[in-house]
Amino acid sequence: VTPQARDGEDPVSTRTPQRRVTVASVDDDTLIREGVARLLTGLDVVATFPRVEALLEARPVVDVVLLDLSIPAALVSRPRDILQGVCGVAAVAQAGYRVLIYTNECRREVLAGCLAAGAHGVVHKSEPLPAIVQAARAVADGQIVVTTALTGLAEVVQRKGSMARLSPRQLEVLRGRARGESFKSIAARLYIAPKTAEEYMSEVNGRFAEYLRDHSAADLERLLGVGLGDLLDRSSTA
Amino acid sequence: MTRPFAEKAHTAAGVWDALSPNRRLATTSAGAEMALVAAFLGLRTVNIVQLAASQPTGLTESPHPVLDALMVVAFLSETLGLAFVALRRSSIRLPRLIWADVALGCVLLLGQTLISSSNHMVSWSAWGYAVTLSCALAAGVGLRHRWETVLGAGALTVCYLVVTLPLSGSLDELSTVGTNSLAYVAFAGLGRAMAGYLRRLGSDADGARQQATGLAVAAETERHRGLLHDQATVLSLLSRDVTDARLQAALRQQAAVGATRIAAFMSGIEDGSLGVGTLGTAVRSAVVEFSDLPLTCTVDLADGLDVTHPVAEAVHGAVITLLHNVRRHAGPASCVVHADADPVTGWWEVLVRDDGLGFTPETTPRGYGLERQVGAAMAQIAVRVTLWSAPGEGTMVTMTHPGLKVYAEGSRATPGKPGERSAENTFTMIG
Repeated sequence: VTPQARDGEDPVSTRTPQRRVTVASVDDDTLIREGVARLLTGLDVVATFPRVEALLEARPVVDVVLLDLSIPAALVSRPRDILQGVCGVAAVAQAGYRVLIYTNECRREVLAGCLAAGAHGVVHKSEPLPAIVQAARAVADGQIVVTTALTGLAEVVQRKGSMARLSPRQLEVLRGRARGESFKSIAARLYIAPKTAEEYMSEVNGRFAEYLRDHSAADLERLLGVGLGDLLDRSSTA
Repeated sequence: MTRPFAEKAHTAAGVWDALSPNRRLATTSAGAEMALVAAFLGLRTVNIVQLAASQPTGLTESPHPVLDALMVVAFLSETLGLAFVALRRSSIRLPRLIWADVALGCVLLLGQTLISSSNHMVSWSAWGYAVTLSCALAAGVGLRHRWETVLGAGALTVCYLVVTLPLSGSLDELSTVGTNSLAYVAFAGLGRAMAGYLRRLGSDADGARQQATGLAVAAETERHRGLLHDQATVLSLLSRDVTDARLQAALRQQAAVGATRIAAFMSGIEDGSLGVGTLGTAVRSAVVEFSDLPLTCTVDLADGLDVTHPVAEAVHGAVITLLHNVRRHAGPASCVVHADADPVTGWWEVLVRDDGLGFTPETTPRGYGLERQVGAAMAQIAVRVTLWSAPGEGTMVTMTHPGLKVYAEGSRATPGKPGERSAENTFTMIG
């Protein structure tokens, strides 16, 4: 890991100048908000907010909104009215922002619900800083960024025949990513450039996001073979 | 069945068992030897009973009744002596006594000319032939070398022929004498063959028991090692000053589970937590203990494949061992457990991959967990295990069951073995 990478700077960006991506962060945790602003030096964090409502009120002009999923009810007087979880994602997406979920939430059904609600990507708080920067840049470029767990879910959806048809290369990349394989490794295996492998995956993610937007939580439940109502839907996600 | 009748039947069966030497004899090498002693003494007893029945008439008609009686006494005495030693040593392999028995048989045969009239040579008046057949059997059963059996049986045959041939005038008599003499060869030869076979059976049974005992001991040791291997990892991590709250909680949870397993093991209760279920369930149940790892578990594709208890147990154990290794050695930023299956063909694949430290497979010796709890356990259910690792790039272990052959060669090549560069780092542990 290079010093730049440790500081949240993508090493590649130091060699090839890239467009600065502007970001707004929504997180109830002050330390996270401050940390995001200071540590993600590869991004321009122009504003931070403790709640979705504050973001929507301020309406900053940014490329990406880095959005935490869960806002504790203690922060507001009427917890039911708070915009958080999938509802918060939907509200921010409907406001025209590109949403990158920045969360500790690992339940893939919840994360799938966020994609269905209009999020453009999911990145975990445990990820290294360069990965977060890279995810924000990808989302700013219009790509869909998903976690390995969601890639696994995409593979399930694809295998059940519910997703739009994929090319053999896209399938190979999807299968590799679902099994935790790096783009570099996939590229070496398929004799393609890593960037090409990333593009294949981005296309798959786009199709997966389309599937999630076009189908209900019940469809996904049926696909996964779980009982009706077992997955968290928009109204129950907190 | 009423109780009194059942009790009587039970008692009768017990008495029958007690009286039946066949049931009381152990199916061991020693038991086979005792069976041979019993067979020889049984035949000799029949001889004595027949001799006793014929002796009053024989003594009356004998030209030398005193000699006749002395020969009978000699035969009885020698038989008692042989029986005593054979029963005491639980073996009929008594070469000196058997040679003495054969020698006495020869004497008895030669002495028949003195105690029987010529026209009674082929009857119980000349009892030598009948009783010396058991001497031939003794030569077959009790002498160590084949040539000894041939010599003993030959001596008896010659003695018999020496006595009977000169007295056989007609063709019928010659035919009878010839046929009778063959009986010595038959008793000695068949006796030797049957005794050899019985002894071999007994020896094999002993060997099989010994092997089974050895295997049971090895299996028990293996069970102990298998049980303690993972717990050792937990204890080792617990002994360190773990500050991470999640790891601490996970370790405590595993310590509690491990304690329960050890207690169940010591009480002899089988771990029945994994019944017949799907492959996905088996993998999921293994993953729940590792919440402290940056783990992604995708096993939905394996939820459609039912597996038997041994398969579920083997996969469950292998995944746990692999994740223990990840926790202890890899220090990964991410770890993926993936399972895929085809219920139609029976093909399945379980993969554990981390992006941690990795190692050089060709220079790093496999640990007990990877070798035995993964490799050997998978081999028992005909599952192929491949290991890929490279320093700084992580480790991947793939367990693949081929299902139908046509599928094994199909398009489901495991992704994740990066190109030609890392082919040298991929090892098939069980093929």
